[in-house]
Amino acid sequence: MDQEGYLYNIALFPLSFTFIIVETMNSLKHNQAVDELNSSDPAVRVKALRFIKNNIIGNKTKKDLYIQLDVIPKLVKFFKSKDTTDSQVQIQAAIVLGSFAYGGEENVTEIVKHDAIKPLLECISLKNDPRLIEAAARALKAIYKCPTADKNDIFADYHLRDLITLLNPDALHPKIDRERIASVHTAELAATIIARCCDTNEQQIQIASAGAFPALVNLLTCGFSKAQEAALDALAYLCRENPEFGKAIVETKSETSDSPVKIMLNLIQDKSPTMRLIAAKCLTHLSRANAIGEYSNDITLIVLPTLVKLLDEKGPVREEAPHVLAYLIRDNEELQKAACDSDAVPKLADFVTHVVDQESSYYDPVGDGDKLKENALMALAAISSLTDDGRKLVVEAKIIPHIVAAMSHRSYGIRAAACQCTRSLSRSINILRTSLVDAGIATPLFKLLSDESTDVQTTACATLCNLVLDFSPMKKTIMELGGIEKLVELVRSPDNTLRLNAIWALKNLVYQAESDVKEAVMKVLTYQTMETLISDQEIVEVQEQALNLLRNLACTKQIDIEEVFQGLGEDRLMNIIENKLCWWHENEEIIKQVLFVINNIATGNERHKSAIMNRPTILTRILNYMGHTNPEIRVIAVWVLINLLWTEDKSASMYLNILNIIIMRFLLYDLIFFNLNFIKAHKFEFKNYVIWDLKIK
Amino acid sequence: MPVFSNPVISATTSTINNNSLPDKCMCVDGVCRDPSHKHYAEQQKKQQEQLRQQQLLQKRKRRLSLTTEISSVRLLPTTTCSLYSGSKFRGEQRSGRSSYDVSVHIQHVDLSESFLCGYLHIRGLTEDYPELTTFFEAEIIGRKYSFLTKKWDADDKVDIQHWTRFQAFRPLKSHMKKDGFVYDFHNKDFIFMRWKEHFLVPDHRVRTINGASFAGFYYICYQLSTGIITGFYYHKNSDRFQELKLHHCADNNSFPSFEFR
Repeated sequence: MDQEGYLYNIALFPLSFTFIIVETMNSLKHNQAVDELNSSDPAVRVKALRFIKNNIIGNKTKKDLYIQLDVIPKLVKFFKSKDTTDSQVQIQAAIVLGSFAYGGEENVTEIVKHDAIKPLLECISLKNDPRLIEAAARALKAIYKCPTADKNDIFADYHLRDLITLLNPDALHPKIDRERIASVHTAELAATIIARCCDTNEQQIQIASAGAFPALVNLLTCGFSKAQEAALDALAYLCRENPEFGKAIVETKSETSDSPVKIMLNLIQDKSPTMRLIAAKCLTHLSRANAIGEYSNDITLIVLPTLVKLLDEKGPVREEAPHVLAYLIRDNEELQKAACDSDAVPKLADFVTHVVDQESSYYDPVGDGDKLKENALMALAAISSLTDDGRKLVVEAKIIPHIVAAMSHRSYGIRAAACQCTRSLSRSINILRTSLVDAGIATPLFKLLSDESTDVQTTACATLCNLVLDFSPMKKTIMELGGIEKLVELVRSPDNTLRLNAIWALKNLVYQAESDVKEAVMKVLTYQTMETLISDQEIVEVQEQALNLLRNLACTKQIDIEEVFQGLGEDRLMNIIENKLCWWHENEEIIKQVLFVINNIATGNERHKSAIMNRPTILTRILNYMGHTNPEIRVIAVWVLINLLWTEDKSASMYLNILNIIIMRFLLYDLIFFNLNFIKAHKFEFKNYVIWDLKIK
Repeated sequence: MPVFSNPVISATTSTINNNSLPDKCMCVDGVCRDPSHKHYAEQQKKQQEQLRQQQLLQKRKRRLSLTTEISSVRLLPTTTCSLYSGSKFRGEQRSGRSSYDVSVHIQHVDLSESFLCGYLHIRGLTEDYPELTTFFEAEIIGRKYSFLTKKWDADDKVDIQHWTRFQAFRPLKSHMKKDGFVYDFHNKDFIFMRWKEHFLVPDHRVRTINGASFAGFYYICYQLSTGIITGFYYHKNSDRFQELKLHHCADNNSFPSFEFR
């Protein structure tokens, strides 16, 4: 027995030993390859680079291994050498770097950490070997796909100029077919890099100034689909939210003197779904930039249906189509109606309800389930944003329970999109009182006000604006959860949109609210804070909402008006009003709110009315506004007058004061009577307080 | 008749006039707090200009992110005459010899969508429910909705029968069936609507009530100059021509507002 067992073990020993030996030899090989990068012999270095390249292609484990072996800084070092005989080394090094960059965000971060971008940008200079340019451009394309990569370096020196020159496949003087194909490929890479570096308006301006438009428009007609797709993409991002550039692109003539829009309308019918998608995207951005108004029929009859049909495709095309669709129909009632009439809603709803949650993969060709869900939710939010028909369709698709579930999804994009969807639906009082309250949406939504992502907080807050309205059955729930405290906390946020949404929600909350609710809000917010918001230094819209809040507070009941007088103090209150009336007369929304504040105060008791009367500046301004070009403002000014004059005690001194102002100021005498006659002619009756619609003809 | 785009400052009023402002300044730490002083005026102007510049710069630098915004149009409140959020009407609904107190509380008006909605409150309709409130939505006859109902069991004959009961409709009768006829309610004294009740308030899940139903709808005529609403309830199984008559309740002329985000 002993002897047999011993033999058995002896037999196994070489097998496991061989295994260990082989593995060790392999890792020795990798170590050796990295070491050989230091060799002074360029041939050795090239061989090592080729070895590494062959090992890491399509192999994430090997990529990670080599990164552990600290290969990246060694690669970057090759570009810092001025030795021209190293061009073959540089080419291989660039190819290897590119391969790493295609392996995911972590790899890109590692590459960027070792300052690889600047040297790679140097490589695309035209004086270099075209193969080096191509390899470096490919690496940069992958690097710039990562949203956290710094894009500032590209705007320094002549890199932009080089990129734009490369957009022309003839720039590198290709002589044989192989070179020509490589040139077109380089042009494609250059266009993609440009597309990925247009994040801000400033960047758009710089790229355009370098002469991007004519070069890109020419690339549209080169006949090579990948390059055409890249050119479309770049043009799309250059005109995004940019009316001036939209027009400029439309007016750029290609070498074949075709109009770019006509070319795009052609490409949108291409057999490749990717081409159709990108052409649709480009036309969408142009349309949103108001650059192709005369093509609105094509937008409705070609672009929109194309996007809806692309929902039947697979992979990245299917994921991006809803995103483009959402952008196309944004704030456009006609297009939203057209989308409702198509079968977009059931398809999008399907994505929301049936896409299985998976570990999302950055470069997974099969597709990103999270992105699909997020974009589908955004598209549904867009379809239901302006019309009741759209909202009904979305409710009938039975996705509300999925929206609620999406509010606790691990992806912040999905959480934000779920809020947007809810926001659109909450614009219907009917749906607020039925489907939304039935789904118990208030609690999960409220939780998102404390989300780690500001984007999510902002969209949740926007939705909450509608849920705290008087007719919403969820108002009570939200207040019980601590809504007032939370909103006041958010109103102090440095983020402009979040702050605006928070003050908007507070304004809606006190609309027609009971006195104790108003008191509760102001106890937490404080009149001091409200005053600061009324003179918000960042955005005027916050000032407008804060004034609207004041208007809603000093309203309906005399004790409410008195509360405002007590809380703010008569002097401060009147100073705010005077300031706004005098110095903000160019902003009609501000003026409207201030006049309504005065109007509401004027419905108070004698003390409230005299507070206004004792300020001749304010009175003069009000009387002036009775002659304003905007009829809405004229009407409110007249209402102020009515309310000030309406008193039981006609002998009261303040009543005589205002009559004095009216009668003695001849300049304004005509104005008052002009308005009174105008009003009489439109059947106005003081007693019944009925005002005819004072619209300008 | 004078109409100004910018308010004119009368020379006879005491404040804010650059020529007669006191030169003596009460500025503290370079900040002027006296609204009647010219420094204050300059300060305000400078502040507004700074705000504008800042916003422009922010706009340039801001990432053109589309991921979180789906809607940026304002949904400003629209009103006409007594049709506004919070407006109340009171009156009665007559059926044969019975009459019931009715009050209507308008919640939201959206003229651009030819839409308004609110609560309709009836008293004494049934013994079990001395107070009944429903939520209704209105279709305002105009560009979007035609006089011809084409749903809710109301055919063209029923439509004509009911609309002609309104005096104001009679001149329109001959035009009604013409192709392309649109009644533009803007700048007219009469607005026609259909009111459809959808569910009970507060509990929308209650579908039936003994002795009462909201399965039908109202033909409505509203007159701006008087604030009077007249209407006729129609349901194929109900007594015909139950008449609704309401008048606008004067409120105290203070106007709060809300806006959907």
